[in-house]
Amino acid sequence: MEHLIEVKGVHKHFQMGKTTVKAINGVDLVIDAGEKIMLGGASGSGKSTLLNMVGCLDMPTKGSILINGTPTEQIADNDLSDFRAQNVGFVFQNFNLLPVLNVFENVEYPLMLAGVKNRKEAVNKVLEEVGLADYRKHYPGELSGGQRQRVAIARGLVNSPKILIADEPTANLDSKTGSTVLELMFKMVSQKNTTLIMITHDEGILSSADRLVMIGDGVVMTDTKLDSKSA
Amino acid sequence: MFFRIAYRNILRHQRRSLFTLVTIVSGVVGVILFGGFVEANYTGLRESVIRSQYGHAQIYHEGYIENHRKTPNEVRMSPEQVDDMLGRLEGRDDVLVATRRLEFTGLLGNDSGSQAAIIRAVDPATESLINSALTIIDGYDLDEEETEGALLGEGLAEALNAEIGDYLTLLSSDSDGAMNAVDVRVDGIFRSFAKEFDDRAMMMTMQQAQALLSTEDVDKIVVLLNETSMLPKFVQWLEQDVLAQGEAFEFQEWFKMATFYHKVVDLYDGFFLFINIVIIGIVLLAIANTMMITVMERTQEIGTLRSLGARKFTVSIQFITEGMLLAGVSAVVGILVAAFLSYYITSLEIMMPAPPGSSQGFPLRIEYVPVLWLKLFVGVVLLSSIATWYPSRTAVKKNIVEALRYV
Repeated sequence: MEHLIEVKGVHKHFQMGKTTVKAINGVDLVIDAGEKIMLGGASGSGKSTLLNMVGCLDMPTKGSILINGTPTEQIADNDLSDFRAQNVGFVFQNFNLLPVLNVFENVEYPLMLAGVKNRKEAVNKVLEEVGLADYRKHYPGELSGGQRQRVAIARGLVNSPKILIADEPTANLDSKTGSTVLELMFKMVSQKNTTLIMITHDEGILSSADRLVMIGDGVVMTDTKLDSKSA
Repeated sequence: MFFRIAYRNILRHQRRSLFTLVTIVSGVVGVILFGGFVEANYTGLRESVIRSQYGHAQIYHEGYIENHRKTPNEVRMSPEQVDDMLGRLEGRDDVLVATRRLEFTGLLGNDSGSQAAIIRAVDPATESLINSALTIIDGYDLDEEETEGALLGEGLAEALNAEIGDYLTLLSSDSDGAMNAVDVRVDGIFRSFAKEFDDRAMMMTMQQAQALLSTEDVDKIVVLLNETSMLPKFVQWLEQDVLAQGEAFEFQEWFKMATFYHKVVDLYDGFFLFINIVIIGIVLLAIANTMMITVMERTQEIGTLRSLGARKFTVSIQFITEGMLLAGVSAVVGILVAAFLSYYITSLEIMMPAPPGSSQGFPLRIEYVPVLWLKLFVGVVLLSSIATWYPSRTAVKKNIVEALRYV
């Protein structure tokens, strides 16, 4: 059976002056379509580095990351950009919305990059799903943290990507808002059968996840299948 | 979407955008005002040259241009040739006036001494229409009836200590090579735009000059058109309907004779080019500086765009669009400001001092030069794209993860 994502013997080293920092030291991982994976681990364990490489934002120093059987390190930069536009959505810790675009335009932007012509309906639909249909004309500066993250989720899922990457999406939100945002995100990825790979320290969300992969010193320490009843 | 993001980002950083706009506007205004001033000078000088010396074109007997210094008597136009050509010119709508000239050198003297002079023999009635750029500063113009009358250039009159009413003796060799002399009476003293001409030139009646030279021939017919812009069509007629028929004429346009004019134009062109380079360089630096700061501040945004799937080229185009939009708007504002200032400064009628080699000052005018405005607009917009391209290219090459983390 072909896995959606295969991480094979991946290493990632950074050169910091004369020192080589080995952020990832040989990771093997497979992820199937529709799975919801939580990446956990101490600060500096390499989980963000691994997440970035799975999201095609960075390339491994050694090893290979295959998505739908295609090694991503062999894809040319422009094609990789196009691949991200069509297949990968991102939700960042700092929301990373474009400040000069309103809510509608921010969510519309990935569709424009993916070359989708009739975008209005798709944008309005996803804004309804995140409960921000009345905020179309608002700018990010006029929204609360929770609202901004919901816009980011809408933007990440508007073109129904295969993979959604979320790096600590609730770190800048209060606990109540964070829980609401996570619930929304899980609901939407389930509906769209999008594979979710997320870094979070919120243990309350484990009940909704399929797997917990713990990273330590740049390697996979544990890879635990989660029973939805056991968390 | 690019355009929308571009103008919103420009409006978002109002102070910075305004600073860049003011810099570009200043540069554009400077180039347009100086360019308009130079063009007005060219126009004024051109018309002065045409209307005090050369006319728009001169028609000669065949061989005159090459041989008039060596064997002037053999390449003059006969009365029959002159009448024929004048008749044809009279029938043309574009010709304002056509007049005969006979030019030679002679020795002009009185009790005070003698001076070598360039003599221009004219038909006073028609010549006065061509010589509108000559100013009679003392006395009066030549008269058809007063055949002994002469006009002296200001410098020549001073050298001979001649005054209005004085008689001078003009000595020259006639068409047979024998020395001959006539008396002329100083009726007027003139000043043209060229001091070097005023120092040596004398004008006299055709009748008196032909008597001195024992000839009925003339050197040339000088043609003045209604408008300088009519010259190409007039030249076409001369080439196709006169010379192509094998007739024994030849001609020269004014610009082939006006070496002083071309020297002035070349000099001013050099000044203009230098000033343009300096101003455009300043404008370029202003745009580059603004865009460098803008790109640096939005490094994280660039990382976001790239992660969403924007290609490097797409992100670069976004910033270049911003640079070009800011430059384009600034250029338009600069052109409008310059147009108003050109009109206002011209209306003040400030008198400029006489340029080198000239004896007359002139009112400061700044011409409208739409071609310059268009070139400037296109140039500023294109240069801004270059000034923006480099910082944006450097930014998009950054690793996406590093860009996302940039603070």
